[in-house]
Amino acid sequence: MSEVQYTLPASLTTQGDLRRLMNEVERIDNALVEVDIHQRTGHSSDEELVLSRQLGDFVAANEIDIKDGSARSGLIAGLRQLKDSAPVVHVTFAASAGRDELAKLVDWVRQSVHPQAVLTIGLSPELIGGAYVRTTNKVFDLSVRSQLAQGRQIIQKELEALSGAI
Amino acid sequence: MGLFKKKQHKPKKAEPVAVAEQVFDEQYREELRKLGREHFKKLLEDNSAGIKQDVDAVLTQLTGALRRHMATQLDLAITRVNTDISNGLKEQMTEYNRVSGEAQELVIQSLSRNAQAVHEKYQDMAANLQQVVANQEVMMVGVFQDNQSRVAAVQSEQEQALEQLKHGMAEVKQQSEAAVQQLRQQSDEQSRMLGEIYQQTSGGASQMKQSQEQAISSLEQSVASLQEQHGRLQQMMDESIAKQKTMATELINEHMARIIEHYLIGALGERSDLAKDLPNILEKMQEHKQAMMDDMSL
Repeated sequence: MSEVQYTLPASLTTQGDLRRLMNEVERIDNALVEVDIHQRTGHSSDEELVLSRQLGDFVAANEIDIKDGSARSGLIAGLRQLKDSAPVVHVTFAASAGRDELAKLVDWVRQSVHPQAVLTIGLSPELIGGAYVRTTNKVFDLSVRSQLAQGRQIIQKELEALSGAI
Repeated sequence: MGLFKKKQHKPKKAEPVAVAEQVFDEQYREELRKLGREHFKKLLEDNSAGIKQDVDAVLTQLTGALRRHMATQLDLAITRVNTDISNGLKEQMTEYNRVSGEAQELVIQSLSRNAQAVHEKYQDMAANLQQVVANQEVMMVGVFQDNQSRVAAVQSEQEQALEQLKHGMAEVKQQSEAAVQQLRQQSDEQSRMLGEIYQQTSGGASQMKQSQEQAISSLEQSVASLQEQHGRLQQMMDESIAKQKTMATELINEHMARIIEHYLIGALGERSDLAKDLPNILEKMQEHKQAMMDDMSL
């Protein structure tokens, strides 16, 4: 099966979000099939379909009619494939990341690095600030701790100048 | 989470009631209720807007006060750290100067002691040499005088023998001539021997003088080499002291840098705010964007 390129909204950030999205679509599929069966047997239902924010953003971004059975089947298969093949970027921060910050970050990653990337978020206060980013084969230490270690020589030079002045 | 919710039904129209007063009352009450609800809603909105404004103002004030307090605390901490570091550095430098001064004085004292010992030894050797030369001169003069006195004695004996021969010339002329001849031969031989002796002694004196000159030149060379070694030792000591001083200073500066880094980490660690750091993080990720793209596309 050829890989379908979905547009991932900013509310879909992590691999966990993808898994939950797929589970939700499968549950909706099951529920709508039940409703269809009930309607055929003369039992109508007056309940409306309620989607989560993430699923709502996803179907709106990709223009998918969730009530269409074939579209749902294709979506489920595509989401399964995406869950296994989406590239993962591991990001570790010094403080807890809020939803808005994660949305901005994943937006930048999808625009600049890979359009279907997802994030894995970690927490490590000893970084002090900045972030520690790990892709498939490389790491990028953008933390304040590494900058301080690199700037140690500047402090040493200042101390030498100070001891010369004393 | 529920997938479905109840549909919104249209409200049913009120049925006309036979008695006009009851319908009017019901309708009137309904209208009153509706007016009351709208009025209440409006009151709630106004109050909520006011409360929201108050809460925003309080939050703004709190934020400002908290920021000022944090800035003050950080300034105080940095000032304390600077003071501690400066005092520590001053103490270390003072101690180092004192220790290096003491070490230099010790080295200078030992070097001067060595130089003095060399000088004393040189003087002793010069005095000994002079004494030896003087003794040998005295000895040579004595030997020469002895030889001279011997020569004088032999000459006087020869003259006495000639006088005896002159007095007995008449008696034994032939014997005296033979004796004179014999005496002449003996005197020639003795003169030759004395000359040989004199040449031997003068040759020995010149050899002695040569050996003394050689000893003096070798002493001078040894003194010059000792002085040269002294200069090299002093230079090596100076270089080693300067090198050790540089190494100690570098080590102190490195440790101070680590201490300052540790304090900075402690001061900065409590102020992490991801919302404010995110633009910087994205800027740094932008610098590595191409590397990330290449890695993710593999």
